[in-house]
Amino acid sequence: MVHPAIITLGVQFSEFIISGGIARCSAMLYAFKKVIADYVTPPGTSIQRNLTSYLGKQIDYLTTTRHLAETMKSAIRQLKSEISNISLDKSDEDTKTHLLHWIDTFIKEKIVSADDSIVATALKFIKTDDVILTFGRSAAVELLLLEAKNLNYKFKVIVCDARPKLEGKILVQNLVNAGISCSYVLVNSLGAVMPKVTKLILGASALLSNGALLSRTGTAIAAMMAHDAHVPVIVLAELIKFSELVQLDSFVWNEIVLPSVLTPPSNDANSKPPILKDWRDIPDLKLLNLHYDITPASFISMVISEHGCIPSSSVLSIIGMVKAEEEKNLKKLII
Amino acid sequence: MSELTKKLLVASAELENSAPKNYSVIAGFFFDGVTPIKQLFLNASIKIGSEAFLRQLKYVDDESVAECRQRIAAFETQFVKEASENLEKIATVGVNLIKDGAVILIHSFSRVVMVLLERAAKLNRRYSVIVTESRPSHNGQKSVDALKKLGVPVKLIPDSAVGFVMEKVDMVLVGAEAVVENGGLINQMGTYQIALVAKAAHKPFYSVTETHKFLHMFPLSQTDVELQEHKIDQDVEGASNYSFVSAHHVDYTPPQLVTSLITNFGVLTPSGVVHLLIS
Repeated sequence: MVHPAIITLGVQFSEFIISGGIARCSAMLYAFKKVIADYVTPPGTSIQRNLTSYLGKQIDYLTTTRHLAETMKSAIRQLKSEISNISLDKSDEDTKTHLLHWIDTFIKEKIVSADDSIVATALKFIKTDDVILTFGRSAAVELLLLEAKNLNYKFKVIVCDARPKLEGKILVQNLVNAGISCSYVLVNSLGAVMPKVTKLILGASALLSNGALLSRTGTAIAAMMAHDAHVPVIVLAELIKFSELVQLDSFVWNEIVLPSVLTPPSNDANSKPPILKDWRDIPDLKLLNLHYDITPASFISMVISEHGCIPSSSVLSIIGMVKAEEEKNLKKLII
Repeated sequence: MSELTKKLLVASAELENSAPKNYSVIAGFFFDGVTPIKQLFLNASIKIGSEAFLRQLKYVDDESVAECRQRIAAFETQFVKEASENLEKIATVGVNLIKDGAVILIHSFSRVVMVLLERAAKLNRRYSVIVTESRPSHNGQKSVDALKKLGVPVKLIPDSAVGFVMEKVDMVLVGAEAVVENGGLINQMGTYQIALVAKAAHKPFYSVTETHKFLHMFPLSQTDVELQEHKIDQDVEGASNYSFVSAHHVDYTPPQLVTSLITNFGVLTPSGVVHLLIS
């Protein structure tokens, strides 16, 4: 019952081959296109009525591989709403074409266009001789920095990274290849470099209703240090990342990843084995590898979405606006 | 239609360049785009005023010039009427904040703050005012003169004494030249300092402003408040000593330091301002 494209996707998600809110959402939508194209309506029902539950089964499978990202939840919600909007007298072929076209438009508008818009807005805030700090590797931040370099802005970048993922290494590689002058530090050096930093630019996994930022573990530390040093903290987030949820701290909900990666790698030259090699045998010891953390709204100076720039306290107003528009689209056909 | 827009843009740019030293200025309305004709009694900046008019031109395309002119004229009359109504609303809303026996600290001279204080005096509220001298413009003296006429006890202090008097003060009241997208204020130089002291001393810091002063601008630091070079009047005593101040006469107060804004829409928090701007 589960389409092979979805099974492949599930493996890619659970092995973290594809990670990042936008990447996962795009990959999921491309997989959905295959699913819809291959879909055959069972006898006794219509595509408009059955497709949603069929897709639901695919989504349930995906959820077992890895928790859905906020971007994916937004896309699914809007896709389901679009399916329910299709008139019942449309043929199967027409319905499929319509949905495939809708998915293409969604990706174009809510992802590609949104990123362009965010980069264009954010470029206005990059001044000559800026020292821009970023954490981990965010697709939107990478786009922004590469575009700024393209337009010959004069700036330097400090990439802050954290174990165990060390995703920042790839970002540094890409920036250096583009000719941007970079430094690479781990979180423990933040205090030392912060006096030189002019702004901190972060990516997001989700933006919550209370203005808090859900992002890769370690982001909150960078934001806190920047806030303390009066460095403006700018978050780049597409509207599909805005969530109605509220989360007060990083423990109430989180994703737990493989604890074994937390043990330091063994050093061949060293005769001593790593201390945590047999951690499983120690009865009172548990290793906790959390994937996300929450940055409180008070640490964030500005959020840039395709709508423009807003302070973090206004995330709720934007969500309200987006919801109202979604409702409008839903009501269109009920009349 | 686009020719009219072009002429208006040119003329408003011209007006912007010739703006006198205050950020708060007169907005003009152009019928034939040649010279500014009417003066409106407004305290909005050129940018805000012309932005408002130019927004009217957005609907231009399917109208005739005569229709457009009519619509803009109607908008202009409405704007002026609302401007004076807004001041009344602000006075009504804000006067409740001034309790009997209050000691109010105000900065320099602000027309809108004066309107509010005038209303409180008329309602026989007993309060006293401390005014910062605000060098090098010495605008604080204007406030002193106006308040003496109202019969309100007033003290003039040098700008350096703000920290010293803060413990005696019950609230701080300032105007605003503009309110920015995150709810922060752009106001006469010295406002940021006073806001910091008020925050440290746990005193409420209010700003009195009309809603048409809201600007779509998001400064991240003091240097982001871009203004043309406004020279302090040459005949102001000692102006030549301040080479820095002659280029800047406003500063930016971040929203965390502002308790609330008293506007014609009621008392708003800085995040309430943003909500208003979004809708």
